Amino acid sequence: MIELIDVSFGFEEKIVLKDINLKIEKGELCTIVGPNGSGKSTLVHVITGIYKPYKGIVKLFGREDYREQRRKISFVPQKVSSFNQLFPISVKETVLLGLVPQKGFFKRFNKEDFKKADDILKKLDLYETKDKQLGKLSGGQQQRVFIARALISEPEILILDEPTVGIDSKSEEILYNLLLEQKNNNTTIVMVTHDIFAIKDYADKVVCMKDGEILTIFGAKEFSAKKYKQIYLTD
Amino acid sequence: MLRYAFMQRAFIAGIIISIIAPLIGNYIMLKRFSQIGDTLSHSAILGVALGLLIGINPLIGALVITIFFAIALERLRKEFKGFAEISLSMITMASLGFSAIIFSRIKSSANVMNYLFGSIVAISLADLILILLIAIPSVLLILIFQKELLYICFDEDGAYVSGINVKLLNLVLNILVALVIGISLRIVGGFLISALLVIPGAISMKLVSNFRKLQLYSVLISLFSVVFGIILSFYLNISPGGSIVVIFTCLYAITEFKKGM
Repeated sequence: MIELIDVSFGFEEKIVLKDINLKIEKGELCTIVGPNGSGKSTLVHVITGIYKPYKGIVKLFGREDYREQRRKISFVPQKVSSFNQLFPISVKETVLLGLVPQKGFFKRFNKEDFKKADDILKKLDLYETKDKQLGKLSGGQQQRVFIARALISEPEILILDEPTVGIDSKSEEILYNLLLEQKNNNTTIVMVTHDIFAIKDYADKVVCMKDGEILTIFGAKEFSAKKYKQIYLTD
Repeated sequence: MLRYAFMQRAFIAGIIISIIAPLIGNYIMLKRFSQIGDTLSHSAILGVALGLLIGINPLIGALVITIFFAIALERLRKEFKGFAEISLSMITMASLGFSAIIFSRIKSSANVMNYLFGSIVAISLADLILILLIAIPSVLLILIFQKELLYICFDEDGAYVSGINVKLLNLVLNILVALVIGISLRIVGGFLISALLVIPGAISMKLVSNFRKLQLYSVLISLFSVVFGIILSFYLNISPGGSIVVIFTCLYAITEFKKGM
């Protein structure tokens, strides 16, 4: 589903990712961990196509040119850096944005779309807030709205960049339950996280990064706190 | 007042412009790219200068030059990635520099003042037809792309990842801004057009919680200010651009005051 072959990326002179090789199969939950500055977020930005590598191949859906398949991808960015709290948009409007790529030009949202939005908001315990301005919600609620926007289009690939940063435990629990539900629906999930221990039992792959390189990749149930310490605290 | 043909034309042009300017302006405001209005309005002044110099309708000159710079801007933004304001400043200054040289060669200064600060007597029937011809496809473009434009304003990366053609939409938005500036030139004047693009949205942002209401309120605020501004301009013999911006400023102050209470 997702394949990176010898991928390197940099900003101007600075190399941020070096010779990355990674294969994620359909329906897998892959988490990416590592200290700050290790290249985790850059890696997901390369996978999404926002950053173009100067070397190597990125394949999604088995193709290098996956423009036609883009509408099957949803991306949840790091909330704080991507959203202006004063932006005049309601919770419902935000969630409906997730359907824009599928709707096409000139087509307005219909009853079915509104029902989809209501359903996903109920699932994420946000229905009561649907007419509120997004910026007026708590950090955890806002993050759940971003996730609702990503899920409403029923994506085949879901990419999340540190979705649990700054959110309350209730939102975290709802998020993880939802991710597992998506995984069971055969959605491929790539998630950058600092909170690996909360989800390690469900991850099919744990990619450990440092200084722009993949140190090691653990398979399902192989990852443990002890191994994590061995990798990152032995310097 | 309405028995004068020039006032009828001023009101029709004013109403059209007051509806489409905030509809487009709100997108650039939300993209935090409001300064593009200021930059392209200076390009419009250069277009007017060129129009007057070579003897064509200055409005056509303004439209051609603003569209040219709107396209050039996207290229320059790439050159100065992350420093968009550099490309904006460069176009503003280049436009003003060339305009200053050309205006110093043109004899009629009254004409120039009309284009800088607007005039209600200056709108000809040909201008009105041109305004309509530009306004109708512009509104259609907004209707076609409204969902996509909101998406790129809210989260450009997310929109790109999901397959929205961000590059094309940014270009469409720049061209729409250029068009609205070109047709607003007669009434509001080159120096004050960006107020029409940004201030109705800025006032509405204080009052609304969603994007639909933002569009609705900003059109109503703009419509009220433009019509009232034209009336003031007629009775007080002042520039309509100036009176419209003063009304905007008063409305903004009232909104701030009410919110603070």
